[in-house]
Amino acid sequence: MADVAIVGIGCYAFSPTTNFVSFREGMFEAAVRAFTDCGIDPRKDVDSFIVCEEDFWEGVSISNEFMPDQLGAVLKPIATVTSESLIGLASAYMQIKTGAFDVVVVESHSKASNILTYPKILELALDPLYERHLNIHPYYLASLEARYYMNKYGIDYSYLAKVVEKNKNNGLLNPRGNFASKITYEEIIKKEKLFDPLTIYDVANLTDGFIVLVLASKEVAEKLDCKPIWIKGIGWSSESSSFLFRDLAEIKSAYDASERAYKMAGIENPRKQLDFAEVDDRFSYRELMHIEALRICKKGEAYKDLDIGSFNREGDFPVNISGGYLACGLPLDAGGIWRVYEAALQLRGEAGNMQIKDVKNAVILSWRGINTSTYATVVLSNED
Amino acid sequence: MKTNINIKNRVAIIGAGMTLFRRKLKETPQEITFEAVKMALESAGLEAKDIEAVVIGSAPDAFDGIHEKGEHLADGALAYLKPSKRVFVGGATGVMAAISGWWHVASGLYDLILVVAEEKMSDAKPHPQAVFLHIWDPILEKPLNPNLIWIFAMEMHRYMYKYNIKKEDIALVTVKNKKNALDHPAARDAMNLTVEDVLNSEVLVWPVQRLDISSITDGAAAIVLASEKVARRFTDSPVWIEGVGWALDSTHWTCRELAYPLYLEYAGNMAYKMAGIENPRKQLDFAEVYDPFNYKELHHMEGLKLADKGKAPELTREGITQRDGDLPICPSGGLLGVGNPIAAAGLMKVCELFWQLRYEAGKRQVKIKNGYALAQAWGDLMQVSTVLIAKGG
Repeated sequence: MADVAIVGIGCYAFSPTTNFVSFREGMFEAAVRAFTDCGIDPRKDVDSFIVCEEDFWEGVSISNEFMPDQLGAVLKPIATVTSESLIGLASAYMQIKTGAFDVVVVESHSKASNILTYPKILELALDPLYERHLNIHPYYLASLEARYYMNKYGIDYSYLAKVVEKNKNNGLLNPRGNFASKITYEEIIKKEKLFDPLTIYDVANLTDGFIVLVLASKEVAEKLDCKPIWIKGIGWSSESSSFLFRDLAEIKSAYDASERAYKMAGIENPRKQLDFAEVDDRFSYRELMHIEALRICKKGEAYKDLDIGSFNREGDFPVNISGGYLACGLPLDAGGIWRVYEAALQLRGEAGNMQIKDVKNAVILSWRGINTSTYATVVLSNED
Repeated sequence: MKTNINIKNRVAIIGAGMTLFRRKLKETPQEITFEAVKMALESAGLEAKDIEAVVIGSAPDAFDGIHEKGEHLADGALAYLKPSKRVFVGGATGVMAAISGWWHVASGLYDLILVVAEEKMSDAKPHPQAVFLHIWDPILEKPLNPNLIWIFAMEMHRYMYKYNIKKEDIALVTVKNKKNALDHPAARDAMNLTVEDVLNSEVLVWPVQRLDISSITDGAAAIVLASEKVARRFTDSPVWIEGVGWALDSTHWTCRELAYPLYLEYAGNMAYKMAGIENPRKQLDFAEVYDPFNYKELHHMEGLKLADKGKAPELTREGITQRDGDLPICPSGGLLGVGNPIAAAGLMKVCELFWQLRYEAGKRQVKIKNGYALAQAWGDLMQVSTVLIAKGG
């Protein structure tokens, strides 16, 4: 019996550039939509706010300073969790479970269009003593990982291309499918390599986007006029942040995060008990690794199921119906709760052209990017 | 907002440790983090493998020049294949990290949590203050080229002006805290000073003088939290977290009355309500309020209702806030005496609650009557406060 639900969702300006709003205005717009969605007044009904932002993405040192006004959080408890937004969601979940808070708002956004030196900022996330001197675009680490994974399990590049084809085509049905296209895997495998074996199509573009979610205790969720999406289980985990100390093909902490979420949710057979998944696909090969970390397939075998269409929209276990980052863009740390937004639309029957029939349970796996081994997994359901 | 009766799982502090607070520490941020973690684990009689999740507190990434520094520090915090996260609310981070640790355990999800706060700021070139050039609204404020000392000078001036407070009384806080710190083994800035020394020190931005402010320091502090279920396996004297509170005021400090920290009143009320404290002035045995500048101790005492508005200087003058007074404030020596590695300083105050309430504070020991004590931190654009109330025995 789940006792914490997502009762309100808001997404605004999920678009590659947003020169018509400042980041604070964008947050306000998403917040208004989320609060209206569940009929709450932040000044009266919200007990706590969690925002997920990093200084170097925002361009201000102490970005926490700029958060309260636009969310209705002035003189209220609001804290910045500088982690992937799904970990912010976990923080809100924990706050409600303490019994001291009934309604907690989670916010995260990306204003990537403001960032002039993205690869340089990512380089600053590399270890200053052991890694930064490499002086490389950090995405070369992804090419290392991809090669390692492909060689270990004998996976041909064409399967990576099939991930791209699936997601970019899925994205055509998504109003947020900024980079969706009718591309075929034949076209993709012909493209020159950018970060070998990855082509430009295998690497997600960045996007702006503003997401606000409202979480509530069971007691309050049942009183609101909303379609609650219950959080059945949530887990997060990290290995070392340095790629020097990790087995690149193993992503142990992704398995660990998923185990933790599954244990809490009572999921023993994920493929049977869950209906679809939204997983990080900022690099095409990663979708396969992440599906395996969720134990939907055995390690190294996701490509086989991909090939027979299992993960397509019409398949027996759709993955990234939204189109994922490859079709919609990567909204930096807001990615996790943006996936929750997309999954919530499905589970609420509000996914429009993307709607899959009879969905009840979903799993989301987020990752914090190539400079980290931080993952978070959440199991959601429209039944408590 | 609920009160304590709704909190299902009580949380205790069962261990604490901190590094020396020094300038230009030679260790890396991960190593500094590890040192504090090691000490906290030893103090609790635990090993790294016993810890179930980690909370990290560290202030601006720009100090270390490491983006997503929570990920980097997690290695030093021994968070291998564990849930870890970083919280960051400016200067209030140290106590926020403890509060975040609290909600991990109070939620029922975890029984043993490690909280560590670390700062390595003295290496920032040309000076860590330069990092604070970028905390302003880029359109409305940055063109004025403000820095922290500038705006805190405005706040100090407003406070002095509104309540007719003299620098002589504010200087007493520096004298008290630096003297208190002589008994703190990790202190960097402990010394015997007179009010005259403070008043004669170099003027930075009037009315702020050099001896009014704490120093740039490196260091880390860590605590171990346990659920009520397991706490007594590890210690006979757990220190219970009875109340937590935090609040953030509007970004537009230019539109706020700076003479009084209203956000602290809200944060304090939240914590007092949770802890069932109705008369803090009487019920608290001591308080570790945030003192990066000497006037802040007075400012915060008032926001926490430990003194009436404008009256904190009187209590200081009368010796009430001395260690042997009726309401000791900053018996540790505070930031002014021990040092100010931003996030670590806040958690150092929580460590002090732990040691004092277990009668382990050595020469710093104050009298414990009711067993309640408070730690508070402050930060952002003079905007946020985090409060934690602990009970010993």
